[in-house]
Amino acid sequence: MRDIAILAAAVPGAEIKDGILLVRADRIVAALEALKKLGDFILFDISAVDRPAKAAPTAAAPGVAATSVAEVAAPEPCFELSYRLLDMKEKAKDFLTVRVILDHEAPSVPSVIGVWKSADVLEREVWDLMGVEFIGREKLGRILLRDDFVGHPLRKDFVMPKRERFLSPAWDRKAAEGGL
Amino acid sequence: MGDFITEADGLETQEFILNLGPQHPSTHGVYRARLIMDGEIVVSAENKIGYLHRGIEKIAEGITYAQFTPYTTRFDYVSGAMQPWAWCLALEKLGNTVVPERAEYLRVIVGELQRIASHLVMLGSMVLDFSAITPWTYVFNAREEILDLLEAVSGSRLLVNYFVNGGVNADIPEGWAAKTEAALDGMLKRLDDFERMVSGNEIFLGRTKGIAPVSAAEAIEYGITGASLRASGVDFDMRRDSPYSVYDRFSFAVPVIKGGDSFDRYQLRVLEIRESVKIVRQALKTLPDGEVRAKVAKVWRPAPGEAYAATEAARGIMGYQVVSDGSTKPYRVHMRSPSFCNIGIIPAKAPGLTLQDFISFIASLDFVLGDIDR
Amino acid sequence: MELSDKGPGAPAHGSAEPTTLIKGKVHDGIESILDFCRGNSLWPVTFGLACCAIEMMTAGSARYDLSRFGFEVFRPSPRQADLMIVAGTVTDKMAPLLKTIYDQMPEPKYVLAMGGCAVCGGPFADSYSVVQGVDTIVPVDVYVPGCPPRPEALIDGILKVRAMLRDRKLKEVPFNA
Repeated sequence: MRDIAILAAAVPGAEIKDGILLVRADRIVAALEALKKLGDFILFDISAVDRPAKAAPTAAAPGVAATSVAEVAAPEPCFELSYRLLDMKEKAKDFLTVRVILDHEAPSVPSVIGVWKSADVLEREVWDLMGVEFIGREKLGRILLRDDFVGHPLRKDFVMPKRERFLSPAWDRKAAEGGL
Repeated sequence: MGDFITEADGLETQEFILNLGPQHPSTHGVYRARLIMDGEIVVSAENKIGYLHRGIEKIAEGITYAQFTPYTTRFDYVSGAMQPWAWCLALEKLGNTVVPERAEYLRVIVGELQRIASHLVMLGSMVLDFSAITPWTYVFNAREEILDLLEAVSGSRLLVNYFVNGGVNADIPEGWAAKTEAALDGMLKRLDDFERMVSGNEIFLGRTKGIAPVSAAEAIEYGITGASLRASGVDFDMRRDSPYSVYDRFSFAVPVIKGGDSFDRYQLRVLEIRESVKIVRQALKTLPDGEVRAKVAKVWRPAPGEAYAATEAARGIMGYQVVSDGSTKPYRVHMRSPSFCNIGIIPAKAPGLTLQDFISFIASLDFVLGDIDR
Repeated sequence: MELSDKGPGAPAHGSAEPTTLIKGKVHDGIESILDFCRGNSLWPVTFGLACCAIEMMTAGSARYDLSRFGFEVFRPSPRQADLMIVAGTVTDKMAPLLKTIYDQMPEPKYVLAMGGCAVCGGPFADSYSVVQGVDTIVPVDVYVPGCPPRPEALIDGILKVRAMLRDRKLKEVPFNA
C-alpha cells in the first residue's frame, strides 16, 4: 500500500490514527473523491460497528469465571463507519481504511454512491442491518430483511421479536397444555 | 427482430413485470430478479435478495470464536472448505498466532482442491441452465473424486470443517497424497471431456458469446472481484499480488482474458482449475513435516482490538472484519461477501438482454445466495 | 394464508383412508395400486434453498443416481410435482413463498424436510429471521437430519416416503424399510 502519510496529505481534513484515516462525516465524499483521483483504488467494503454507552460491569457468580466483559468503552457512544478501499497501485496490495465516527442517536452520513457505484448495495445493507442513514440518494429500502421487519438487528439494543408467526394452532394448543 | 408488428398496425404492446425466482431452477439459489419485460427483452432488472438471510453476523456475537468457525463454512456453501480461511487469518492477527509451516501448506492444498470443486459446480450449473445435462453429470462426477479427498481429511464432503484458529484440524491420512494425484488426473480427464463437449459447441457459443460484456472500468467501478474481474481484463489476484499464507512459494499463472462476456467468464474458470491443479501438485511435492496446529488456549480471549483479513475465495475476494472486546465472544463480525458486491452490476447490464441471455449472464457471474444473504 | 392444523405426529398427507363413494376391498385395492405406482415415480419440485440443495443436486447426479428409483425428474413447476424436498434454511422472507408453492402442488403431495435447518431451524434456530423448522408451515412426512445429510441419507428419506405409500397404515417407518 502507498504510504499513509502521502494519502492523508491528498485527502482534505484527514487525520491518521492507528494506521486508519479518520475523516469527518460531512467530508467523506470529498475524501473518497480525492482518493479516487489518485487512481488505482477499489471501494471494497462499507461496515458499521455499534458502540453504545459503556454498560455497568456485571457481577459474576462466585466460583464462575465471567465470560463476558462490559461493552467496549468508547469515549462516547457512537457508530464507527469504516470504508475499506483496496489499494492496487503498489506490488503488495493492501486495504486502506477510512473511518467516520457518527452520532449514536441519529447516525447519518452523505452517500458516496456518486463516487463509486459499488457503494449502492453496501450502503443499503448497512442501513438495513444497522440503521445508519445515507443522505443524498434515493430512499433506502430493505435489502436483506423482509420489507415489514421492524428494527435494525445488528444494533446492540435490538430485542429479538417473539416468535408468533407461522406457528400452527396445534402447536399452540400443545404448548398451552404444557405438552411441548 | 420485431418487424412483425409495427406501430403502423395500430397495436400497442405493454410492458409487464416478471418475477424470476426465488424458486427457479436456474437462479443458483433463492435469488429473485424483478424484471420489467417488453416481450422477450428485459427493460429493467432489480435484484431482490434476502430470502436466505440467516443473521449469521448477529449469531456470531453470542458464541465463542471457535464455535463460529463452522458457521463461516455456511456462507458460500459451494466452496465450504476455504470459507474459514479469511476468518482464521483475522483471528490469527488478533491473537498474534503463528501458523506452523505444514499447516499453511495443508491449507493451500485443501483450499485449492475446494476451489477446483467449486469451479466445477459453476461450470456444471451453467451448462445445466442451458439444458445440457450430460456435461453436468460429467462435471459432478469429476467433483466427487475431490470430495472424497476432502471427506478423508475432515469427515465431511460439503461443509468441511478443516481450518481452525492456528492451523488445521488434523493431519492428512496416510496415502492421501497419492490419492490426490490420482484424483487430479481423473478430474483433468473429465474436464477435457467436458471441454470437448462444451467449449466449441455451437449452441453454447451462441448462448454465451457477446452476452453482457463487462469492461474493465465497469468491473472496477462496481467492485467486482474474482474470476469475473479477471475475465474483464483486470489483472488482479490476491494470491499473487498480496500473498497470504504460503502462496508466494508456488509458481502459477493468473489467467486474464480481455473480453468480459459470459463466454470469457466461463473460459476463465476452466483455466483457473488447471492452475489450481499446478499449485496442489507443487504443494504436495514440497510439503514439510511438523505440527499442524498452533497452541491456542481452549478458552481464548484475544486482546481488545480489530483485525481485517481478506482472501481470494472461489467467488471473489472475501474479507472479515473482527472486532474483539477482550471476551471469549466476538463483539462484531462483518463479512465482506464477494457475491454480494458482484450482483451490483446486474441492474446496470440487464437492459437489452433477452430473458435467456439474462440467465446466461447471471450463471456466468457465479454467485451463491448463502454468500449474498449471509 | 391458511396454516395447516396438523401438528407434528399427525399423519401428514396422502389419504389416511379411502374417501370415495365406492367403499370396500375393490377400491382399496385400486388406491393401493395407484399409491404403489406413485411411490415408484415421485417427482420432486426443485426447492433447494441453501447448502442442502447442493447435496440434493448431487443425489441426482451420476454417483448417487436418483433415477434408478424413478425420482430424478425434478420439476421446476410445482403443479407437475408430488414431492417437495425442502432443502435448506427457511427464512421469514421465504416462508410465504414456500406455502404458496406447497399450495400449488396437486394432491396427493408429500413433504420431506432435508437437513437440520428444515427440520428444526438447525444451527440458525435462534436467529431473528429463521423459521424454526418447516413443519411450522406445512405438514412434513419425512425428516432427514444432517448438516448436510449425505446424498445416501436423502435417498433413504425418499425411500421412506415410498415405504409409507406402500403401507399406508405405517405411522413410523422402521429403520431398514
